[in-house]
Amino acid sequence: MGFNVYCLGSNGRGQLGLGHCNDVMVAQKSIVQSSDEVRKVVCGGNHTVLLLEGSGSVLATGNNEFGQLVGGPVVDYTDWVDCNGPWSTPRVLDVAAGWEFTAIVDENNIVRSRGAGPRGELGVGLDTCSGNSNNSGGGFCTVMECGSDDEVKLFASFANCVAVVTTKGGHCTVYGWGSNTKCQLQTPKSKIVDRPVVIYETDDPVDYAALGKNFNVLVNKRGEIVHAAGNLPSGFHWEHWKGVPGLQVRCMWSSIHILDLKGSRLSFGFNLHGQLLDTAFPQDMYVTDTCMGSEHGVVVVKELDGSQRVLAWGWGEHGNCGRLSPNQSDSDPTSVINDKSNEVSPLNEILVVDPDKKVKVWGGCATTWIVVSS
Amino acid sequence: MSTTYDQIEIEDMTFHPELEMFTYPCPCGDRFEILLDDMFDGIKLAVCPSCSLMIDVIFEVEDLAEYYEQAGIALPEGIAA
Ligand SMILES: [Zn+2]
Repeated sequence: MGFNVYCLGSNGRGQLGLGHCNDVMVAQKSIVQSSDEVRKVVCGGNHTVLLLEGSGSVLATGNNEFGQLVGGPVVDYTDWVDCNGPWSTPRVLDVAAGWEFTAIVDENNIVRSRGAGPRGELGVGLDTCSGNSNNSGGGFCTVMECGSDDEVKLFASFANCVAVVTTKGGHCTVYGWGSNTKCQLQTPKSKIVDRPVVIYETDDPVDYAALGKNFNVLVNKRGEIVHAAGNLPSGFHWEHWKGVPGLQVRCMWSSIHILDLKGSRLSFGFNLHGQLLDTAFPQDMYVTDTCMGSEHGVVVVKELDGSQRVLAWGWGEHGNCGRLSPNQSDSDPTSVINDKSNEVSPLNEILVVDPDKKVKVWGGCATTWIVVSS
Repeated sequence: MSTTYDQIEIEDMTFHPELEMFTYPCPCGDRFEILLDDMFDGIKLAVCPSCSLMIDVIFEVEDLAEYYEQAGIALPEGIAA
């Protein structure tokens, strides 16, 4: 096993890990590794954290102003940093990132957070850790300790973090922390929830949380939406979806995108920059992976002949939806720099991948990530 | 229909007393910015220095008093303390 990581888009703080801070609009190889697989790529406002599947190793790049990557005086990393050493954590089980923070589950099933959390994003009490802004501490704060047999999954976006904790017996408790100005965690509304609160509890385990800027949606293991809260996009009524299995729910900051078993796609939310996919997306495409960035989306589609294409759509001002011209070559280094020629992107091809490779995609704040495994 | 990216309430903005400025995260990774004094003068648009997006800030002039206090500067005439 091995993989190549490609990326494009916003790069003002080195969050693409390309050794420079120019926005690029043609997919660039950022990491080449001959072993292991990528489990997850998560993105804050200006930082990127990548978790490897087998080893539990973490690589990170971009803005480190608040210690969201590692301790020490470096404000922006433009090349990938190995985090396990500095974190004294040989194996990371899960990772999530929001605006200026990073959260992990370490090898002892302890949820820990670092970076800045002025809206409670660190989950440890505003008085405890969020004074980290001078980057002097450089360390993690302990958010919660889970049982050694629990399965713990982390999700984050913007100013919220969610932990889904499932016991071996199948009891599932979903915790959330961060901003609560739109009641995305609990009612009544409050500005800040700075320690984990239970936002949902069930014996029908939750598989994942899909988070937008001011809302969250929980999906169970059958692919049914079981909970939604916050300032939900207009037209989206989660009760309508109750009991409908096999859904894939993905969120941009301001929109919800639902793919059902029949291959239909429905979106709700902002569409000023072409974010909603049902308007732009042919229904007959066979999609193998979907992910959303802050205001753009990325999909992998498989053609009948087995060839695979990565497509992006939505707000592409930082080059994150690629170049519209058919000539996307990275052989000419000057042509990859973003020229803002694709601000509102139709469904646009950004990479073609051989049939025998495995492709997964992720999105950040105007960044696009493509992992191709051999 | 509005052509700004979003409408954001003042309570969701971050106030920086030393800069006398409010900021709010932009989906590009940078931040929308608007100066306290400009808001007092009636401006409601916050702009991002790194991209073309803008937001409308939702506030009443009376809301600004506490931020003038935080910044340690005198209230301009026109706000009831
Ligand atoms: Zn911006």
